Amino acid sequence: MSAAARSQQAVLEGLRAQIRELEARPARREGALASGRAAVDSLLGGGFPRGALSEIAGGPASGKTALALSTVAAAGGASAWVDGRAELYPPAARALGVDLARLLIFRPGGRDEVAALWASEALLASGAFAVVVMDLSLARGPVAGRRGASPDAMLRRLRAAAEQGGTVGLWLAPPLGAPRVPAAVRLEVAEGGKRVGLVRGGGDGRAA
Amino acid sequence: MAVQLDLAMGPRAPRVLALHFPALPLQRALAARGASALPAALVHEGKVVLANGRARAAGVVLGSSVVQAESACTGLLLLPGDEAADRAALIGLAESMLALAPSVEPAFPEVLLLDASGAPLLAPPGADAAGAERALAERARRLAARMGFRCRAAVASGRGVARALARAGREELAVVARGGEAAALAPLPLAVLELPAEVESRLLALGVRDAGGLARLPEGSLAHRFGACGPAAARLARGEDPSPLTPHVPRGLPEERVELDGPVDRAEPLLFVLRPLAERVAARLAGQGLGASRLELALALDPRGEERLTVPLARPGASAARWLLVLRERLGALALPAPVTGLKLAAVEVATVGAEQLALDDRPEVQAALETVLARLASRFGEEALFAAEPVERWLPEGTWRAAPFSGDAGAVVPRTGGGSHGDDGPRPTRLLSPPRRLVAEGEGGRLTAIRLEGRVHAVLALEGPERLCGEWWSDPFRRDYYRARLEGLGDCWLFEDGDGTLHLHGFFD
Repeated sequence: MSAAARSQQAVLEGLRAQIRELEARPARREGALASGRAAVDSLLGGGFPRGALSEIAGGPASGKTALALSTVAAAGGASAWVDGRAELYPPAARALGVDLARLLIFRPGGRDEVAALWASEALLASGAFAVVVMDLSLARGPVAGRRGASPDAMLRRLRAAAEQGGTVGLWLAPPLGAPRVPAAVRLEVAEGGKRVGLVRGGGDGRAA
Repeated sequence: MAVQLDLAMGPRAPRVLALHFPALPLQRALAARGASALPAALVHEGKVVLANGRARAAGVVLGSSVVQAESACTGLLLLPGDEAADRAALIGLAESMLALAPSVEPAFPEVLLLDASGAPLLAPPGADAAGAERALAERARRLAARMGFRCRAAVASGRGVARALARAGREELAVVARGGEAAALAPLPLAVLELPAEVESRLLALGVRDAGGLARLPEGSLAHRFGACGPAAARLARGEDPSPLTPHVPRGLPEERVELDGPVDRAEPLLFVLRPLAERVAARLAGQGLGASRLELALALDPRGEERLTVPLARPGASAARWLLVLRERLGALALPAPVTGLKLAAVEVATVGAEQLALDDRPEVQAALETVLARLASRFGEEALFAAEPVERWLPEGTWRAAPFSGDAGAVVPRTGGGSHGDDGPRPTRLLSPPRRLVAEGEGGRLTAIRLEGRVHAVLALEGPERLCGEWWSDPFRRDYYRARLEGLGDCWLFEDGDGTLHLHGFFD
């Protein structure tokens, strides 16, 4: 790189820093975030992509929650858990190495799905959290709470929000039937996390 | 740092930063109406007593009648005087300045005196004493400007000296080194010393017109002619003023108000006038080391009535910019029943916060982003929807944690193999059902072979347990035998059998 190009680069970086400061937004994170499980990281080619959504699908005791928690533990810093089902058991999270003081749990309670998706979007876009885990039960069809709102449109906004915040968005989903997020990576987990398959994205589509 | 002792000279005068707010009543009245760019005059008993630069440039003369002033300047804003509001404004400024100085004294009607002894602590690295004091004065002036007030500053040894130099207004910012006070005061007119009117007029009659002239008079003759006032005035003129400050102690929570020039029925213009209000409340809180955890915005409606918004904040803070993000959202969602004629913003719930949360100039970006999103969510969903989990020493599984305010600050991480609150308990599920779901057990020869859940039968593929959890006789006695069961179609589940033999599904090892 020539001296002129380096100088131009420095000026651009300075301007970006100023814009970030004006927007009160942290520097965008890039690359991949290790999940804390070597087999999964190898499958993903390093870890879950930052600035993107990843879907972890599995049955009620498949191990998807433990995988999300180990990723939160590995991330360090602040993370958020959108606990739409109000089922996360914090003592187990602590046992997996999660610093509970740095895990924001958001329980939307009986509010509609739009509210939970709005909150997820805000958390993903903020850039304040390394990982945002979304554990929501979405019905098929229009999203409850907004007439005619398409779940796909709402979910696309989540992808854009994750990009904006440079956040690792982990979407926990049942194996079949629920709306699918526009995820860069989709993992299928079974048998308490002993079997993990990569459906799309990441490395070469193997199973661990 | 070496401490200088000056025993032979008696007590050393403290270093004081004086801020003089010229025409403070007019500045206050304009700030309260959010109209600082207009030509304006303050009126008392039908006469103009103060006028801003724009009004004076248009021909408004002090002492003229209202009619004369209005005919001299089209569009002149005439404002009534309000002494109580002027005092409150100076006190508000004093409270905000506590962020910069250990003690602040309001010297009514227009001056604040700040203890400048801590200036080196706030100075940039490598700054000398004068540079540190200049930096302190500049910060104080910036803070005042953020609150909507303009002031002149002077740093000197002694409260009276600093006050006189600031009032003289020869420079917008003057720093007089220790020992240079008499020379700095010498050319200034007697009026800046704020002597008793009778003393001043008699000195003027004697031909003493400036502080230098007064300083040269022999103390004996001054005492003879003016009593104790005379030598005191001469000492002040010589820059000898060791009297300490009388610090202001804040009482009550800050609130600021603004009256609008005309009724407003849209959120955007309201936000525009809300900004300086928020800046003032935030600065006053920050000065006291406090952050608001709840704000109240009262909107005065036209022709009468009031709309009140209570705004919870996720984290206590004193950052007006963060508050405005939340207020923008709340105002945007509000259907105004009538146009608004005035606003009042108050911090109704506060907490002591650390310097890193006060957010004056140097908040890290991540912290700002965190606070913003927490405030937005708390505003929409309520504070109870957002929390961090805190371990509790209990045996009842659903009682082993409680919700605590989320700060984002690191806590103690204790990686463990089990998940309960007690040291020797077994593995815990990642998901806990509330309430537990009742199961129907199916067995053969005393052995559990399957369970029925919501009409579906799941074969038991493996079973570990029991782990007996019981106790808490003092509050909520219970006895449960827990099992980890691998169920066909579900996976590893956490079941318990209670005291009367009923089986429940309590969680998933997901």
